[in-house]
Parts: sequence; structure tokens; C-alpha cells
Amino acid sequence: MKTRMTELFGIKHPIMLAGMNWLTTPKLVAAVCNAGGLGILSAQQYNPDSLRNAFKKIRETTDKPFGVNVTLGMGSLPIVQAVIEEKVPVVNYALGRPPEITALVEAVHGYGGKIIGTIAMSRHAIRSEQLGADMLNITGYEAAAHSGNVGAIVLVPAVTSAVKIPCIGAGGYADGKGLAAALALGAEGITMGTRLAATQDSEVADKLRETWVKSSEEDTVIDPAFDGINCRVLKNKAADEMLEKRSLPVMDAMSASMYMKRELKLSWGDVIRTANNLRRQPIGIGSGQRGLGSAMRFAVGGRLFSKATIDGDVENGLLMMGQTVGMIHDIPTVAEVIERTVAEAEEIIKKMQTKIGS
Amino acid sequence: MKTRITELFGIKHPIMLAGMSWITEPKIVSAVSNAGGLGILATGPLSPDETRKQIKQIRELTDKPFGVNQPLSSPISKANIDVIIEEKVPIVNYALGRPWFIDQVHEYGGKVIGTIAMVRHAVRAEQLGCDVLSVTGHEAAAHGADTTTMVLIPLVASAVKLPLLAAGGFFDGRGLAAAIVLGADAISMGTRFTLTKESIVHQKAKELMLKGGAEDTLYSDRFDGMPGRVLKAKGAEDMMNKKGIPLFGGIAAAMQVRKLLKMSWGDLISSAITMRKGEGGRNVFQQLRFAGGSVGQQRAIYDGDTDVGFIFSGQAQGGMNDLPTVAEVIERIVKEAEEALAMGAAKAQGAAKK
Repeated sequence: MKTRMTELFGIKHPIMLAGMNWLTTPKLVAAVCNAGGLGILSAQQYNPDSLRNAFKKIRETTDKPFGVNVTLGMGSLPIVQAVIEEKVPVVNYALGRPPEITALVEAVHGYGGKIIGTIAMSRHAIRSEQLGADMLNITGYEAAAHSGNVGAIVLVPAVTSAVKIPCIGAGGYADGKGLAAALALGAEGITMGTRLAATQDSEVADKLRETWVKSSEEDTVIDPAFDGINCRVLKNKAADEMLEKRSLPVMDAMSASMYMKRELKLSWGDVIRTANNLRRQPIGIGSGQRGLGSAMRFAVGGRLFSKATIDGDVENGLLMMGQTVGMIHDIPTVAEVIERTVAEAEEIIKKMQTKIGS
Repeated sequence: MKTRITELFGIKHPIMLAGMSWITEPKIVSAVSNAGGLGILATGPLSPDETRKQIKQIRELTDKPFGVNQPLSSPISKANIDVIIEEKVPIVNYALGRPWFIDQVHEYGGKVIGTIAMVRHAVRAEQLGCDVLSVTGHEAAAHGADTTTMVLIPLVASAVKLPLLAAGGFFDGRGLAAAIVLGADAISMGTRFTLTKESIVHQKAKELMLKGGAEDTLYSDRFDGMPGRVLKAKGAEDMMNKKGIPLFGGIAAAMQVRKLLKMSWGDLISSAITMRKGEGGRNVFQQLRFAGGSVGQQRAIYDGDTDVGFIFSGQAQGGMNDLPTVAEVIERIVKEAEEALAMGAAKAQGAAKK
């Protein structure tokens, strides 16, 4: 398959791995790259040193282009600096204010890298294009983690009509039917998160793989209660409790910040700066300022996310999960997922064309 | 374009008009059928006499197949279904309830479409004997559930054998092409047809919908008692924010509904009781909201007043910026779908196109 996406990055298949905290380990990223897709490492759980180390591991296991996902704003400057110094071929940013985005675009273009902007609304897509992004990743309402309220079937054609740069769809894709639909809607490829994590190549507790196979499309819930902005997660005990407890979790947030500080080896100055940045961060998805309450929720959510994702506690931890989970019934290798998705899409398009033409 | 649905219904294009209370009246229904699609009359807000009259009007305006949509939760659904069967309406689309009339429709050669928004309801509707399912994604105007079109269509397509109409989020040919590759056989559109020259919706409401982006809708059960999607405007926002039960508004509205549907007080009370016990378990508060919703919708549809009233609108509103004729909509969507598939094929065969 040849699309503007495969041409832009020099990859074989128009499939990107969504950057997912803790899930997109260097091994999984390299597996996607080696299978002909575009592997993306989520930078969010790293400090600059451990991030450089992760890039090194990826480069040791693949010579294909790969990328990194950075969430701008939240004390992200040291991370962004490490990404630029390491000349990561593809940088996928989310959120962020125009000055931050512009600086990132200039630096990455400076060393010949490419920029992917993740957006969930038409007006942010237009802004991202104006700021110099090379491609857009369009996140539909059905996606795991953060999205707006618009579903892929509307958002993808609306955005591809509004911008000239290539776009790919994220949220709702797990097979070749989805890839074919995305191409028909005007996209140049797709992003898969949960589907590529639910593979033999991911480094997660078996409990997570079981959960992905077992869950249906109706087992997720989206709400700002989990980490301060609309976030789709597995509807489990932890999620139900957070939905019930809507008051400001002050004590929870403080203990969670200390945990995050330890995990990310942040200084107290970093913690305060991050909390302060979060407060002022215009949430790129939706609108309005992110208040202190939202920042605290983020701290609490962060800890609960690692509980599910690293420890495999899918009852008491929060697991980000998209509606596509209803389409996941097996645990293949990354290469199998990518190959069968492309083969199925090609077959469907061919079949439909002859059918429609008759 | 030929699909299982165009074959089954004997229509030219795989496009259906979604039945929308007060909006899909005989004129637009026949316009869609005459343009080669499938027009659907919404009989939910009509009395049995009015239902019969409008079916006859449609027959005067078109000799093409058409259908009706009847929510089975409505107090007068039994009486309306009787009329529909007497009139031998070619296609009967039901929603919100358990159909008892499928055999009767099949007897005169009619077809039944069940509207569903969840996989398990699709499986049940197939077991009950439906001929086609209309699969409603979260993006749809009015009553969708949580699962979006992109996820729901392929899941339903693998769970049942019946031909599928994909509904929720469709406004152009790219959507039709996507629906077909996802496993559907046609699309159903509501908001797109609401925004046409033929639609009776007040110009002011049409303009607001055209101006609204895809994100400018609200989804809540506050409007008519069931989770539904409406245009984001003052009236709808007020209803979202209003706490408590709209008791007086609801009772006043129930009286209007009674008058409109020509129901006796006994009918109103007994239907309220059956609805409480009925499938979906609608309680009194929901019914009051439903009655209030009926009045609110008519204010927006007929008077263009979205400060007090509200209008159901899908996320598809974000993809539209014109008011074409029904025939123009259908023709260009079919043409665009063919182009979209050709472009997909070019990519699949290894030729990147701008």
C-alpha cells in the first residue's frame, strides 16, 4: 500500500503505533517499525536520561524510522530537548500552546525530522497545519485515553476537507475494514493503540492481554474525572469509584505527586513547576483552562494508570481503553496484526469496487 | 450502486431518509423516494387518522417504495401499526420496543427494519425476524447509544447475517464508501436531509445547524427522557442545566400531546402505565420529559425557536455548509462514494494520490 503517509516517512505500511504510557516500550516500538509500520514511543513516563536510553534501545533493534510522542506544556521542556538532541526522526506532539509548538516544529525540521500533530477538533487541525505540522493524527471519540466528543466517521472527513496535509485516523481501528474505511474517508492511514498492545510483542502482565480479549465495546467509559481531561478507560472498580467521588482529591493528589516525583526522579521544583504549568495549560482537546482540580486529578490518575498498566491490577488501577477493544479476540504478533490489516483492507477495497461498479 | 438493500427494497440508491418526528412528512418522504432513495415517514407523533392520511398523500406523490418509522414506546403505536398494516406500507421501520407484527407485514410482502444501537439488540432483532437492521452510532441525531459508528458497524456486521443500514455521522459519499467497506449495505441520513430545500424545518433552525461544528451538539437524556443528541443552543443548554423534574411543564405538555394524538384521558393514563412497565422501563419522569420534549421540538422545527425549544441534530452537521435539494444530495453522495472507493483502490494498489 502506498499513501502520502508511507511516502512521507519512508515506511512500508500506513499504520502507526499510538504512543501509550508504559505500553509502548522500546521493544514494542521496534517491533512495529520492523514490521513496516511507524512505531511511536510515549515519552511521558520518562525523564531525559531514561528517555535517551530508550531511544538507544530502539536504535539497537531497528534501523527503520521511529517516533516519539510528547505531551507539551506539562514541564515538558527537558524531554523536548532530549528528543531534539537525539534527532528522533518523527515527533508526535499533543496539546501545547502555539509558541511551544512552533519552537518544536522549527527544531525538528532543522535536523530533517517530521512532525505529527495529534488533534481531536477541526479548528485544532487547522491551527496545527498553520504551525507547520507535516501530518495530523485525528483522534475520534471512540479512542482510548484523550479525545473530544466527535466520532471518527464525522471527524476524519471533516478534518481531511479542512486541511491539505496528510491525515491519519486514530480511535476505532483494529482491522482491515477500519483501514479501508479510513482511506475512503480521506485519511492516508491509521493509528492503532490497543490492537498493537494486545500482542505477543508487548511487555505487559498477562492479565492485561486477558482483559483486552475479554472486554466488549460497551466496557469503556469516558469522563474528565480520571485525569482531569476527557479520558476513556476500562469501566472497572477503580473507574466507578472515581466517577462517584467527584470532590477534589487533595490528599490523594499530594501522595500521588510524591509517587510521580519518585518514579520520574523529579526535583521538588519540577513538581511545583509541573503542577503550575498544568493549571495554565489550555487543554488542547475541548476548551477552557485546566484548573488546579484538573491538575490534581492528573496526579491521581497517573498513579492509578501505572497500577493497572505496570502491575496488571485491572480492578484497582485505571486502564486506558478504546471502544475497539470489542474487536480484539486474539493475541497475535505485531507483524501478524500489521500484515493481516493491510491484506484485509486491500481485499475489501478491491471487492467493493467491483461490487459497486456492477 | 447495487447492494443487498437496493435489491431487497427495489430502490436505485443505497440511501435512506431517517424517520424524524414532524420533519419527515409526505413531501420530503416522496422527494427521497422519487430521487431513488428510500423515504421514511415518521408516524411517532401522528394519530392513527393522520397516519393514514399522510400515507395516502405519499402515494399520490410517488409510486416508488417508501416506509414508515414507528417508535413502539409511543402510546399509540398499536393503533398506528394497525393502520400501517391495513395500508400495506412497503417498509416498516420500528424502534424502541419489541415488534409483534413482523409476520403480518411479511404476509402482504412488506419488509421490516429494526433500529438498534447495540450488538445484543441486533442479534435479538435478527432472531425476531427483521429483514434489515438500521444500526445507529453514537454520532447520530436523537437516540444513539455509546458505541460509535466506526466500531458498531463492523461488530454488528460480524454478529448478524442481515443487510445493514448504517446510521449516525453520514453526510457525504466518503461516509457511504466507508459504511460499505465496514460491512453495511446502505446508509441512513437524518441531519443531511433536514438541511435540504424540501425540509420543512424553519430557516432559522437550518442556519444554526449549518453554522454549528461537529462538536456543537449535546448528548443527554434531559431532552426527551432518553439519551439523545441535539443541536447545542440556548434552549437545549437550559434543559441540560435544569435540575429537578419538569412536573408542571411535563403535565402541560402531556395535555398538548393528548390533544395532538387525539387520545382520551383513559388512553393517556393507560399508556403511561404500560410505558412504565414496558421494555426499556421508562418511568414517569422520563415520560414527562418526553412530553416536554415534544413541545420543545415543535417550537424549534416550526418556529425556528432554539432559545426555548430544541432540535435533534447529529455530529454530521459539522460536515455540511449548504442547502441543496434532496435529489442533489443523493446524486452527489453516490458519485462521491464511487470516487472515494476508486481513490482507496489507487492507494491499495500502490499509487499515492494527492
